[in-house]
Amino acid sequence: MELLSLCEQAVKLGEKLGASEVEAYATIDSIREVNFTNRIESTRTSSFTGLGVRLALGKKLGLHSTSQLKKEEVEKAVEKALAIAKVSNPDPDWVSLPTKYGKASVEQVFDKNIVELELSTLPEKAIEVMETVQNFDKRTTVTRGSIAVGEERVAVSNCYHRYLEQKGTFASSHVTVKAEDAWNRGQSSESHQVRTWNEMKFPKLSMDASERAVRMMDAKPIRSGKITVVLRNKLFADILRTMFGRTLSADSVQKKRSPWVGKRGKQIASEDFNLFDDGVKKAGVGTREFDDEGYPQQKTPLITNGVLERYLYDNYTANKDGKTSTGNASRSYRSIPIPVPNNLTLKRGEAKLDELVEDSSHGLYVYEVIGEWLSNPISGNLSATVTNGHLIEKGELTQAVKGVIISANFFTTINKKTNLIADDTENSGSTYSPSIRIQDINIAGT
Amino acid sequence: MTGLAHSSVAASKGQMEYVSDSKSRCAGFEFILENDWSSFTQEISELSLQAVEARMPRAGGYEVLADSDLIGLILHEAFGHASEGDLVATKESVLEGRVGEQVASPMVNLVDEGVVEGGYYLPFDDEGVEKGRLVVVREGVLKSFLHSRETAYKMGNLSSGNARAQGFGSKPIVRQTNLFMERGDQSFEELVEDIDEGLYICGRGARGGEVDVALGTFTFRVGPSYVIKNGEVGEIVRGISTSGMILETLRSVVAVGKDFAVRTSLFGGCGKDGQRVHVGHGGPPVRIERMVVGGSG
Repeated sequence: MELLSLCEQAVKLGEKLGASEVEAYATIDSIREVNFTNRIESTRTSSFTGLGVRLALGKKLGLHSTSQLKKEEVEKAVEKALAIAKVSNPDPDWVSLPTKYGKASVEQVFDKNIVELELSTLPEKAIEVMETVQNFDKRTTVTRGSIAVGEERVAVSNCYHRYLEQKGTFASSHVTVKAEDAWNRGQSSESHQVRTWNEMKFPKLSMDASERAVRMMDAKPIRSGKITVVLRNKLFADILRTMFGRTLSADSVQKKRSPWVGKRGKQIASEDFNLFDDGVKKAGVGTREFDDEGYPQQKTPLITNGVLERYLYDNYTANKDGKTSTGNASRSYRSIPIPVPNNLTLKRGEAKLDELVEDSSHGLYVYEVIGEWLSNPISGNLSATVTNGHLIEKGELTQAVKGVIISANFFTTINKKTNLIADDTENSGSTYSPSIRIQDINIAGT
Repeated sequence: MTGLAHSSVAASKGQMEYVSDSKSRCAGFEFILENDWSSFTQEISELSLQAVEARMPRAGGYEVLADSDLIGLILHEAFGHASEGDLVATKESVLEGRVGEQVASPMVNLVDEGVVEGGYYLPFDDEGVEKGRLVVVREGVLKSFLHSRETAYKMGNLSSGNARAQGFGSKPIVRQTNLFMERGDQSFEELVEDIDEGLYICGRGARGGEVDVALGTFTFRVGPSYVIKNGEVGEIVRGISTSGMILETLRSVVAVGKDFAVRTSLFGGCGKDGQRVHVGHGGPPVRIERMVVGGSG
């Protein structure tokens, strides 16, 4: 059954049964994955389907869903959503479902090479990764790896006689390499997430992780104190997602769970700090023609020259604030949408990564950490345990470092005029960031 | 499973803090009806009001007393993951090849069990194997690893009933069920009185943890906690993350309390290889000689 026609049937049935507004949202996610260590461990092909019905009876709302894309199951979901709406309390902030639908122009989000990939290609690439790692050094082996490709199809339709359909492809790879001899052990991980098969760089993935695993063999903690740190691009992307991913969403702001309540128009970061959400970035991991309510995705400035400019909106939160959606609705077929970033991006600087290191007389170059996602975006308390880093002495990378905690107040940190932002943007998932140098970070070590 | 979660955000003098906690049980709706939720939520709000005024401790090494709530999280990250058979079979875990070795203080006894009061209810695993009681560490000596049928076969062992899959679309992998430390004999007062300078680190409001089983490093973020000075619990402190080494932390256990609780959560869970499942954990309050604590300069 075609996704879009099922959505349209759901909308028609909801209207016929007396709902004042109806929306249907359906997805098919197909995934192919191979997992490996120093041999192939498992391969998997899965397909997940679902359709969600959101409807209103005046200001009373109901949601129900089914994982079976069949006409009779969809009809049951509509009936149940209506039954739920009937017993719900009216939501005084409800205005309407989106009345504007549309597609943005996007590039490189669908690759037929991924859809048509031979079944044998993924295991072949996995073996290539294992061999590259094993040939790198007699001490290096893969302890964990995966390569996955997927196709996502989304359809959405509502009672304002709108209907849209889009498809996208994804590819990702991950490898963890261990380097070990009789005395020492080092480890490093690397991962890539892209939209097209040609962007996958298997040799680079294998070499980067192997090289760092070997360098980490003699890693040790350093003394507690204050130090200048250089945070690798992908790591700072993870930190940006933890610190801004939820709190710049209008949903958090309206519920007063965000430190950015009442801060629009205020200076919250240094002047060279520019953060935006680029929902239409070429080949971006979060790039789509339209968001999960059918609203066209767009580029939205969030922090410009350090000034907080805008929050991210879906239709509901926009109506509540008397604004327009920024095209950031995100949901699964089983849930109502909330606004989240599409491609959260920190604008690159002009410095070269080498300059960030060379200009530090005494510092720590941090490549990998654990626990950065446990940082607190409301108090601004940032902390992470370094698992892969290097001491910087007189502008040179020296001793390998692990097992120390870095901590700082993130809100103070982004305000520092001495931060230096590099020009080497990379992504961790759908967050894009260059590397950054920050002074006076606390270290808890020996 | 039923449960209730509450988050409270407090703001004071330009600072913000939030504390969240939940209570869950493998039970029906009677669990919701029988609990006093207004005092539960009020306590969390009061804690967030105290925490927003609190300072952060100075970064460095501390003697710590972990409460019963937090010790489960520590064990889960600091030891549980490294004992999972898949990570052992690939020689990724630092515990590989150490069965029979002293890996913890002689006071430490660790058990993984399928049915425990207060924990997650798992009489059998997702491969149909009975999930009984497995002694992982007895008096500090590593006794066994957690196994699925696959990892048990690879290592010439029997499955311990630890295979779990997030759903029908996922492969069953080795997971902890209810991993806990057995109780000791010290009262709370006895545990505190020998600490001259340290921290009483607490699980309420903790944000979770992560481990790197190959490097043997783990980290977790605890809830609002308290300074211990001259054997007494004093000032509240916030924003604490701690870190340690798998093979060192449980060796530094110097005292084990007699209070005991295992808990589970409807809202959280353990993530591994992109799969999330419910688990339970717990134990008694435990005194650990040294842990690294991140804080202010």
